[in-house]
Amino acid sequence: MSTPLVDRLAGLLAARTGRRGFLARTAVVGSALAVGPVSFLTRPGTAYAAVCGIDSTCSSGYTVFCATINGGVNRCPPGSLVGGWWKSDGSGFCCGGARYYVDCHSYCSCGCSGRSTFCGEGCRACSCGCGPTGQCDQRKVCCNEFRYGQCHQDVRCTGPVWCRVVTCTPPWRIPAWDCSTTSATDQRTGQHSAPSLQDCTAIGSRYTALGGQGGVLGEARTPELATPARDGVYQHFDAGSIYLSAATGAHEVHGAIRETFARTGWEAGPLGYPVTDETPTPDGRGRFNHFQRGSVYWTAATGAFEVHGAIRETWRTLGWERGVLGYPVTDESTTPDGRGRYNHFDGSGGASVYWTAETGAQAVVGDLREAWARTGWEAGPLGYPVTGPLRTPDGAGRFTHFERGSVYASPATAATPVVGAVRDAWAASGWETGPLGYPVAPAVPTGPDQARQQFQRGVAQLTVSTGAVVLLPV
Amino acid sequence: MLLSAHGMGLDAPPGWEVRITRRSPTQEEGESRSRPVLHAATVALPVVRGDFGGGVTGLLSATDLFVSLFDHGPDAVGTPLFADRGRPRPVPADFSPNRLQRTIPGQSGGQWFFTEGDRAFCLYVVLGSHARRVELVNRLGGLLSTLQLTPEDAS
Repeated sequence: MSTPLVDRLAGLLAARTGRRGFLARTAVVGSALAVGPVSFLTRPGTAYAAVCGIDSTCSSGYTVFCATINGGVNRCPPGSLVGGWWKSDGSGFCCGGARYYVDCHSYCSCGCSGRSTFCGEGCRACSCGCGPTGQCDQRKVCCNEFRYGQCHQDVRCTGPVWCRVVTCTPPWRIPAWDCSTTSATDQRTGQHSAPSLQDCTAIGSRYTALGGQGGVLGEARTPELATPARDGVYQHFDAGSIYLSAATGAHEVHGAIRETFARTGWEAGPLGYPVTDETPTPDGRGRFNHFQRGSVYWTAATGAFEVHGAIRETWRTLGWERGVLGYPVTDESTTPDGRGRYNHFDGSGGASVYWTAETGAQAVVGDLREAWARTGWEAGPLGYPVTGPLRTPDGAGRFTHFERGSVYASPATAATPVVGAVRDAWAASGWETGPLGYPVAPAVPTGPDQARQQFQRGVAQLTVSTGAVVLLPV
Repeated sequence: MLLSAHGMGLDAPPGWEVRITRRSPTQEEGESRSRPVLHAATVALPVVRGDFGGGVTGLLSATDLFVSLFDHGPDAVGTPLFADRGRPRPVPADFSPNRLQRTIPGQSGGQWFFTEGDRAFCLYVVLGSHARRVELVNRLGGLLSTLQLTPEDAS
C-alpha cells in the first residue's frame, strides 16, 4: 500500500473512531474508565487518544513498535536488520534511565539506485501499512524511508523502517546489532508506548542488569507471560529465561542448566522457581542455580543435573560439590523397586545419596559404595543405607550401615559387606573392636546350608536355614 | 551572519534560524559519544528538539524547511553507507513524502549520507510541502551553498 494512501486511511479511521466504536473494540479502554470515568466520557476527543497516549495513531507518522506486530516479542522481525538508533532520557520503561529505540529496516532483495540508500517497493520484505486495529499502537509499519545510520554501516541499501525495538541497553553494547556509539536523541518519543511494552518490570530490570540483548540471554523470544499456575511470570530469550514470583524475585536460567530446568517441568516441577541467577562454583569448575526446592549443578565433564528435597539437604550437609560427593551426574531418579530415590555424584570413587521414607537420605561413597554395588545396590541383601559414611571409634576404619547389613573398610582391609545374622553376631561381639576384627571377604557358601565369612582374626560360620552364627576367633 | 562551531559553518540567508550544538557528555552513558549537529529552519527552533527534527517538523507550514546535518564522526568514514564523497546537491526529485523520520501529511523529506574530508555526515531535509518542493529546494540551495565543513578540531 502506498504511503499517501495509508495516511489518508489512517486519518479517516482516527477521526471516525468515536468513543462508542472504540469502546466496543478495545479492552484497553477499561484503564481510562478506571482512571477518570467522568472526564473520559464527557471530554471532547477520540477514545483512542484518551486511552492510548500521544502519537499512537497511524496518522501520527511514527513507526510501530516491533512488539506490537511481532506477537508481543520486542525484537526485529525476520527479514530485517538494525539500521540505527536514538534515545530519550528519563523513560518510565527503563525505570527512569535512557530508553533506546532501534530501527529495524527491511532487507532488500535488489539494490538501490543512484545516491539513494533505499530500495524500491518490489524489493522489500514488508509493505507499508498501519499497526493492528483495536489496540494502542497503530503506528506505521514499513513506511518511513529514514535511517539513523549508526548500525550496520556496511549495508548501504535497505528498505524502510519496518518497526522499532526498545531497549534499556545501549545499542553499541549489543554485538549483533553492529552499532556505533554516536548518540542521537529525540525526547518526544520518550512518551510513546505500546500495550505489550510495560514500564520498569522486574523481569525487564533483571534483563537489563544482565546486559539486555547483548548479555548472556540474547534477544527476546516471548513477551512476559504468566506461568500456568498464574503464581509467577516468565520470559524466554534466545539463550535463557527469566522467571519471577513474589516469593523469589526475578532470576535468570540459561544454557544446560535451563535445559535441565525444562526437562524437570520448569517451575511446576520439583525445583520450583529459581532463587539465584546462574553462579560459578568456588572451585571454578562448575556453575549452578539454586531453586526453591532444589538446585541444578553443571560442569563440562558431568553436564547439568538437578538435586532436590532431602537428597539435596544431605548433599548440602556434606559440603555441596566441595564435599565428598562432588557434582551430580544424574537427576534425582526412582529406584527399580519404587521405594526409593537417588542421585549419583562424581565424588572420588563414586558417590550416591539414596532416600526412602523409612531411611531418610543417606550418602554412600567410594569403596564402601563399590562394595554395596557389587551386592546389587539397594535390591541386594544389604538394602538401603541407613547412615552416611562414618568413622570407627578408633578413627582407622570406615563404614556405612544398611537396612540389613554393613560395609566396613580399614587401611588393612578392603571394603567388605557383612550381612544379616552374621552382621548381628559380629555386632554383638563388639564390631571391629571385638575378637574378629574387620571383615576381609564377603560370606561364601561352604555347604548346602552353610556359609562362612572371613575376618581379620577368625571366621563367622552361618547356618543359613536357622540364622545361627558361630564366631570362631583364631 | 556566519555561524560556525565544531567544524560546521553556515552563513544563513535572512529568515533562517541556525543552531550548531553538541550535547553535553554528561548526558551520555559510558562510551557513548555525542557528535555535533547543525539545525537550520525557517521557523524558530525549540530549545528541546530531536536531532532529526523531533519537536520542529510539526511546526512547519507549507513554506517552511528544516535541515539537520548530523556528524557521524570519523569512525563511519570508509563504510559503504557513507561511501559517497562530497556534499549532496539536493534536487526536487530527491524528495518524497515517505522519506521522513516522522511522516506528517503534506511534508516531504530527503536524506543523504556522505563523507567530506575525514568526517561522515547525514544530511536530512524536511520540506513543509511536497507540492511546493521546487520552490523550497531552491530556497534550500541558497542555504546549503553557504555551508562550510572543516576538520572538527579547527573550530
